Amino acid sequence: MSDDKRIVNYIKKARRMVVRNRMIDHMLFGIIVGSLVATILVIISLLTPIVDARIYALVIFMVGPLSGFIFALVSAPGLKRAALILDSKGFKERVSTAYELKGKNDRFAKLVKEDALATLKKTKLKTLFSYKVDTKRVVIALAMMMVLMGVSFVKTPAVAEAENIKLTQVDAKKKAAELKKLEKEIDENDKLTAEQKKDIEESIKAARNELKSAKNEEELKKAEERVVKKLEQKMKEYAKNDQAEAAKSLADMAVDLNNKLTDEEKEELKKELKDIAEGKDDEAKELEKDISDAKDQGTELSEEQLKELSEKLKKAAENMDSSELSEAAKNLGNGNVNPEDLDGAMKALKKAQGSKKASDMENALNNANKNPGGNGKNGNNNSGGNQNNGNNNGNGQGNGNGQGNGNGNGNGQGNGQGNGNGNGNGNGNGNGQGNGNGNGKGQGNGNSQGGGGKGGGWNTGSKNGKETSDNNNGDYVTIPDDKVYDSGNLKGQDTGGESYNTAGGPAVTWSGNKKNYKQVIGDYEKEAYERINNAEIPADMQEYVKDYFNELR
Amino acid sequence: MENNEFKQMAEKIRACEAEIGKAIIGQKDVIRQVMLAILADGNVLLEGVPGLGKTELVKAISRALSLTFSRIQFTPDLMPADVTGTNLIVKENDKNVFQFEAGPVFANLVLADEINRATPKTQSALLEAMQEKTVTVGKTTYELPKPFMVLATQNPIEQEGTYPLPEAQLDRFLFKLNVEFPTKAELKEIMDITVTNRKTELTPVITGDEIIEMRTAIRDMPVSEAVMDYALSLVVATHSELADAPEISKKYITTGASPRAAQAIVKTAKARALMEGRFNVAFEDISYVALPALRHRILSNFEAMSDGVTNDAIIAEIMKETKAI
Repeated sequence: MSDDKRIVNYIKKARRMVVRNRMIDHMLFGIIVGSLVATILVIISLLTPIVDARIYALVIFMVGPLSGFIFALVSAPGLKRAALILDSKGFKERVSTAYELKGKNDRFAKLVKEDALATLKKTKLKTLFSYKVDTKRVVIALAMMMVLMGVSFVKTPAVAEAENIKLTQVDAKKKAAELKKLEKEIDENDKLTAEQKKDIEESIKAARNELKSAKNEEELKKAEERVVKKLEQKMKEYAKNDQAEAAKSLADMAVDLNNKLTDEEKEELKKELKDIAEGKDDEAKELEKDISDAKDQGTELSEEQLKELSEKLKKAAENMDSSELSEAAKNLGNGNVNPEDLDGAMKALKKAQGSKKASDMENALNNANKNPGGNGKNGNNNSGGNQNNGNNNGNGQGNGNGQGNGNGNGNGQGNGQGNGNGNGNGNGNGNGQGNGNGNGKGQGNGNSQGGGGKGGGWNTGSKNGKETSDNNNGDYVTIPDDKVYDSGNLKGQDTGGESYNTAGGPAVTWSGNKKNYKQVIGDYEKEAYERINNAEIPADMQEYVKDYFNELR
Repeated sequence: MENNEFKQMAEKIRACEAEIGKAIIGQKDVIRQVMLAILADGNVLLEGVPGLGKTELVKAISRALSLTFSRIQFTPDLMPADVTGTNLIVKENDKNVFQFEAGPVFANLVLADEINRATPKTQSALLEAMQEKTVTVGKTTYELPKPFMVLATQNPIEQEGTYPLPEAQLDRFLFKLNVEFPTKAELKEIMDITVTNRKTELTPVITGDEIIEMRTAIRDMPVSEAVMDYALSLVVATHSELADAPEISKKYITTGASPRAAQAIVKTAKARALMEGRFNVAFEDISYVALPALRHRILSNFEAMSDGVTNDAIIAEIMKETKAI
């Protein structure tokens, strides 16, 4: 090995040791600085909620020594510099001069190199560059770490709050991810138009931001509900548009049909459809009654009665083209009068009735198509069924008024209140209240409440919106049932936020039984008194309840 | 030249120092610095109060080095010809011809005692000798013997009737050495030598030829970049006009050191490395020679004088601020 190479090897060796020592020093310094900064962060997080403060503190703490490590590597001296560092250990610039004379072979170059090597040989580099522990620095680093660990375990309300925020954020993140998935699904949905997709995606994007900005569980819940409502409303809106288009084409067809049918045919078709709609089938009803009577009589049924019933069933089986009914008639004809046979006969009859009704409906429609001019009237007037509902998807509440006159179909959406006047039902999709006066009913899908009183509609329009409480101030209370009444007025209520109105189509109204307000109060009062009597309730509390009802009267 | 030869040189120089030390008590640094100047082929200005053995030092060096020695006492009426020599009319073969009569400057070692007492005209008579190692009389230039060296002395306290050396002449001195008052122990030793019959005999250790050989060898000694950079940084730092000059330079220095200062530092640093038995110049060599090489080459301002800041203090501060690495 040449002198040059040997000198370079010595320099490299020295450099490694220098880097190692610097690394230890810098890492120790990094620990001190990292611990200090992390401790300050943790202390601040004890006073004010900082999400993941401890994780950040840990990262900062780890970044300290890591930076020291990296810095030591990056700032590793070059060979020339390392030679000078080596010289500073008492070699009096022999090494750096020899390194600079690398490749030269004049007499002085040789002498310098030999002299440098001879001096280096006499010295142990390991001893020369042995790491000297800086006790003061080590003690400070240990102390800082202890302090950091100490403050990290302190629990304060701010820490608890930060933990809650963190949980909320995690939930929000999950929900945002779900929205992302939904966004993808929407994107792949062929049924939606590009415009609709864009609209929904924008809504989802806004919703995601809203979820992310939620600061606590309550806000997150509200935001989530808002998101769901918004998307539901969007989807319903699109579905409604589709329905409206379908209804329009049907209406066109009906007008066309009406023009083509004669008055007679119209009457006939009307009657036929009415019968089908009302399930009117005298023969079946009569038979149903007979079977029911036979069941009641049981074994007391005479042979003659059995035969008569069997005949009726047979006839009905023929009319309805039901093999099951035919079988039941056969069994009764055989004189078997057990309850199972009668139940079987009843089931067969019902089934046959169902099939017949469907068939009749089909026939009626076929006839109508075949015979223009034979259309029956619906009897329900759609012309007055106009409803405007407020739909509030933004911040605050929207105004929406919906009125339904006569019988009509109409869907309304709105956050707020819906008022139904007269005999009508307003169906409000959305959130809000529905008031029905008289025999009207306002019904809100979702969080709406229908009835003579204002429903407590929870505002999903905005986090800034206000929620109205339930308030009974109507004269009547309507009880929903399946009957159809005249339409009523639906009225939305402004709750002061970003809103847009959607004109509803023909309102679908739902009837309700009218009950006198006093009757309702009376019923409640009666029930309350019964409970008071049947339960161990302090006397003064009993009086309290009684006073309450007295005041209501 | 092999390693052993350099070692022998270093030993001889050290032996010479020891020999001089027999006659001069204390003043080890002055002796060492004079030796460095001899090896670096330079002239030395010794400054000190009377009676500190400046003249004796020069005499001792001449004896230890086996060199010819002459002493010129500079007085206000001393003429240049008294230094350099003159042409005399002599009869030669019955003809009157001019013959050059060499002055006291024609010696290996010339002691210009109290040089600041002579007029500038006479002082300048030494300029050519110091720089070119020649003397021109009439139209003839005479080479001075080799090695040639001027050792001048001056008294810093008696300023009346003196002619301070001009800057140009000061710059020609490689070193300006301050001869300090000896310690009590050294003084006692001086008494033992001077007030008794004890004679100090000095043996020549180095010949003139050997000195020339050493000078030649030293010139080839390598200087690493970092060391050279340090030497130059020190010189540059004395220039207050430069933007990155140290504050003290800006405050107190009017004129910085000339390039001759850098030459002086590097040359003498090499000589010191040889004396230390090394074949390369170290930072410590530069530091050692910087002060005597720079102190007479910077011109301080009135503010420095009024603040009582000496050139030595300024240079010490510059050296402190200029990092070797």
